[in-house]
Amino acid sequence: MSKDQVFRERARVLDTDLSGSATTAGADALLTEIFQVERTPAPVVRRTRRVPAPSRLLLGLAASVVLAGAFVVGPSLFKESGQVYASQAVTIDRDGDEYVFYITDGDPDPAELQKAFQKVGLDNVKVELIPVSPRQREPVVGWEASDPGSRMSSTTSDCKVRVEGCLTAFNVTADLKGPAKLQLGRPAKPGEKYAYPIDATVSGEAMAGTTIGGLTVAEAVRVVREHDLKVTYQLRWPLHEGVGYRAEEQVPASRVDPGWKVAEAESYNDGAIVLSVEPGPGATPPPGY
Amino acid sequence: MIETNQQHTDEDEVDETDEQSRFEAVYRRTYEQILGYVMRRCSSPEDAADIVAETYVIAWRRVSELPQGDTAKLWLYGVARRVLANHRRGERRRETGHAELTAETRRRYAMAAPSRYDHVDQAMNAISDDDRELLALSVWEELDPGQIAAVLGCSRNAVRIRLHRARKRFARALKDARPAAFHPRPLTNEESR
Repeated sequence: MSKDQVFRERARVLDTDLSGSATTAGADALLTEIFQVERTPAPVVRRTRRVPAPSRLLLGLAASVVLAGAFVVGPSLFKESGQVYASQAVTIDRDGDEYVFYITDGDPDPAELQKAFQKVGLDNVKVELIPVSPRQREPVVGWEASDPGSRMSSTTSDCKVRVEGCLTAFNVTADLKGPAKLQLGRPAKPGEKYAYPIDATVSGEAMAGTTIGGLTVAEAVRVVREHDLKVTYQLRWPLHEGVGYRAEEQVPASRVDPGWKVAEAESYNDGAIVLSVEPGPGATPPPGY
Repeated sequence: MIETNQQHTDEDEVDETDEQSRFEAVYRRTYEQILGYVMRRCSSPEDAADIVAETYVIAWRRVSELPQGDTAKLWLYGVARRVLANHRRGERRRETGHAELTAETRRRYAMAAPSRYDHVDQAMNAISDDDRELLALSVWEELDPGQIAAVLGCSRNAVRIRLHRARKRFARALKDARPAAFHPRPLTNEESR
């Protein structure tokens, strides 16, 4: 059983179990009640101001003198919501009990980001930029915090509408207690290993348009080499009678049977592909796996 | 002048009727999925009924923004997600009574298989809320990365990467939470006979 199936079986109900529920007495009664609810005009936007953030183009020109210093506005001026900070790389809004960060620079200066967090009182947040595929269109965002009540989530708000040139946006608990770490993707340098793996066959990646999963190792290696890329291997040793696996990384080619199946191909860096291989029957895992 | 006012009133009524028809069509088409989405994430039938009701009340208030076609379902998942999050934070609104829906939902919960806490639940609890929600949208709602991206308001590529990582973390959590029965231990005298 795959791990997806294990997860699926934990659903209290599946949609198929609810077949016919859209026409029950309960559904009919709710619809009648809803139509009695007074409708209101379009919802009021919670934020008090909509200030376009400075674009990168402007910053590259003479306006950089004016915009060189980020400005901080006392949150009290905007009550519970509104812009509280803006710089070249980030605009920050206060929204209720959270701060909303709008990132406008795809390769920001970590010190500038760190300063932005400090300016709004999030001194305990350590900002770390991690190398990701330069072809990745949106920065990767990661979060680790010791405070169990803390939250970081990608916002569902209209990032580009709120801030011109916004690449990604996320919310962070304003009243954060204890240390936390924010990871944000930056374009990897040539040859630099990606901190976040990415499917090598998706659009924009080195092997876009190919299908690697399901091929034998020999077949997959041939396809990868046709793209002038190097190959590294990872073995997936199954756990729990087939549910889940543990990955053994950096496996030499001499330990990989050409007839074993490839599960997927990921970009290791801009010149190499990691083939995740499922060992065939009878293969012996190394000690500890 | 009177005729003009009357004309406006008639047009308003026609608009209202059109919007009611459009809303009802979306409501009937998406009800099972939204009810399922909420039931899978809510331990109490009363809360589930409240969240379903509030989701559709919000959709009705914002009917002019309700997308056409299959996108409506994704939009409603997004609304339900926010209502659920508000509910968990203690922010509750109740603009409908929906007594019959609550009663039906109680019956559905009673019919659902009794839960048992084991190593799989332990693994599901060990991963982050974000990872669990991503896996749930993929496995329970059977959404592809593009659809998940529409629900969460992020890019398809970001979803692919996060989903990949979530699957790895869930697999690792399953391994760490393996049931005690799986751990090798010496047999007792009675067992070894």
